[in-house]
Amino acid sequence: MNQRVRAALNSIISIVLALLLAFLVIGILLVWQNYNPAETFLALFQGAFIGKSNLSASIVLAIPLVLGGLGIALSFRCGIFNIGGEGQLYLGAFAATWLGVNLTGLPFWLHIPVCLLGSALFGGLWALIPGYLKIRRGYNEVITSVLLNYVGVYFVNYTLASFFKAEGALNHQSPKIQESAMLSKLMTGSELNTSLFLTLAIVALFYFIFYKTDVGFKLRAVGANGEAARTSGVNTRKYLLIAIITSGALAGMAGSVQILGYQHVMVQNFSPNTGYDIISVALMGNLHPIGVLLAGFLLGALRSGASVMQIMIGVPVTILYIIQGIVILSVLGFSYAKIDFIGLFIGRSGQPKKEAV
Amino acid sequence: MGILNIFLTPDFYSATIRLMTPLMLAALGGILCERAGILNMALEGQILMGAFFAYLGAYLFNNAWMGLVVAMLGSMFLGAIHAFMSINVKVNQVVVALGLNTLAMGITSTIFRFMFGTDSQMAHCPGFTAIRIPGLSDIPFLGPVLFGQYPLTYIALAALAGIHWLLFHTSRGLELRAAGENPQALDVAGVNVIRIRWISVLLTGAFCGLAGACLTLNGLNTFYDNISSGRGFIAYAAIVFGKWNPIGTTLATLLFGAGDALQLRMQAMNFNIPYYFYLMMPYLITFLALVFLMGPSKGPAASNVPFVKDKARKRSAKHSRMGGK
Repeated sequence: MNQRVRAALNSIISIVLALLLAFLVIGILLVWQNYNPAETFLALFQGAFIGKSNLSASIVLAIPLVLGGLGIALSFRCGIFNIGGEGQLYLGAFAATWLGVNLTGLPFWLHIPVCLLGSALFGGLWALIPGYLKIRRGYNEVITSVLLNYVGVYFVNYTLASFFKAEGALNHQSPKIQESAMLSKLMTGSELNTSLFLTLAIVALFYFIFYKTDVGFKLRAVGANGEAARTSGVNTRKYLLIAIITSGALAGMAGSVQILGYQHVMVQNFSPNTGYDIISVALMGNLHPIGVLLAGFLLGALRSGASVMQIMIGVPVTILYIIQGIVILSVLGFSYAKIDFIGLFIGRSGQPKKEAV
Repeated sequence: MGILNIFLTPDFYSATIRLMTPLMLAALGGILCERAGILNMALEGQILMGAFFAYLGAYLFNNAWMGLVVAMLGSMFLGAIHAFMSINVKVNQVVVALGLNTLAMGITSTIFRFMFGTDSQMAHCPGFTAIRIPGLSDIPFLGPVLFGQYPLTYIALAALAGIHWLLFHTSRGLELRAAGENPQALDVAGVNVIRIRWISVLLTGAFCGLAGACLTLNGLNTFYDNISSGRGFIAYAAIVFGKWNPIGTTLATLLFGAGDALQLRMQAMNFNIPYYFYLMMPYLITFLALVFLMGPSKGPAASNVPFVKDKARKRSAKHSRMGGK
């Protein structure tokens, strides 16, 4: 069997097993609390996938998770741990909303890209701070980026309560963005919009750059073994900086697509915890672009299904965090313990043992 | 009038010590596993577990001290997963911590909803009250600041003395530090590195349990989602700031506690500063202190490096077994 197919199958099996384990644990919790697990999981499944509106809600929730998750996957693969997605997402959304409200008279084909670029710029600059401190001065990027999350989110909430507050609004929220900055809807009665195509295009572009170009090869080399990459002449600092700025930019866009796509005004805490969920998505997707696409869709579907489940059955949506935690830990464990599921199931089919993934 | 007056009241100093206690407990605990070579980014999740299980324990047993025991067990449960994953499975220690923090959020907020529902009417548990040490607490100014604190503050001070003594004045402490600096040498000397690392990760969990208990049992006596709100990362910053030394780390938590207390006093005095900047201050102060007040520092050499027994050592161990001596 081809090595790459084997590796891909192994990751798919590991995530399926991880999900089964997570649902088993949740099932035990549900039985303990006298809920019917079958009924609960059925509600979760129906809320996620059955019917046009449920399915499209899942996709709408998945879009920012995939975009942000791609960036986090890139930074982790490169060996720099950007945990600052939450702050980058809020600042990105702030930039896009500000441009969407205050630029007038632009045609949509100019206005939308300007807003998206603005969000990427703000997110990227916010990620540059921990990146610079790490690369030039050796500070632990996990700590600095987490601290900047709180600073960023509180700053954006402040703007929405002060100079960026819509006149006469009761809540702390921004004015509505111009028509020309709104992404068009794909069908009536659903929030699904053109950011879907943007996301798919970025996933494809990302896959191509990461696996088919010299830049991508060097990015992966820096993450796999920085010392070896440096001695063979790769400017590791440059690639680390590229990785963390790109991840910040994508986190920023994960914020802006929600505003430009369907929310159209920015309210305080408009996207709670998404900046941390994108880390879950990256890890659940094994830091691979296609894996991130699938994991993002999975988590989006679980989110949309869980809210239906909470209303119908009364089981709290917070069980999603348990599922995420268990899936992350198991996928991680399977990949580091180097368990070869294919080998376990169908035998090694004559392959030398060392080649097994 | 103004800001300077804040520094003249005993209230400010007393609040500083109250607010630094959870940071101090978590950071002192974190030093143990950091020094043994396990990078611990899961302090945040462990504090959260501690906070919830302290509340749950105190509520179920109707006793705040039982809350402490349950809190330590809850945090150590997370610590055990951390230890297994990073010591035995040898996964990346940053990444496993991110999974654990998410898991802690799920466990605490889900069980909270299961047990107490989603009513705004929150069930209260018994908590601690400040202990006034007779005689000493009557000293003007210093009395209420130092001798009128919650029991966990005194526990934290005892922990500081105990951990300093353990690390620098006992052979166990020497072994623990060696596990983080040069585990191979320690292994050759015949000490079980895996065991030392396991014990220190579990101890970290116990201290984080106490840190979490400060948040729920010191006067609040209830729980809300994500109550730890980044304190685990601030505690980690204190470890870095204090250069992995218990005394330095405690001074760092004193600084961060003072920042938090200042923010609260200023809010009460109604300065013309937007509310959001007060909320931001603890994190901003930690960030700025980390970046501007100190140069970058290096942690233990073997931090985040899984210990793999040298192959030659494995063989010689086998030989000596076969030799039967």
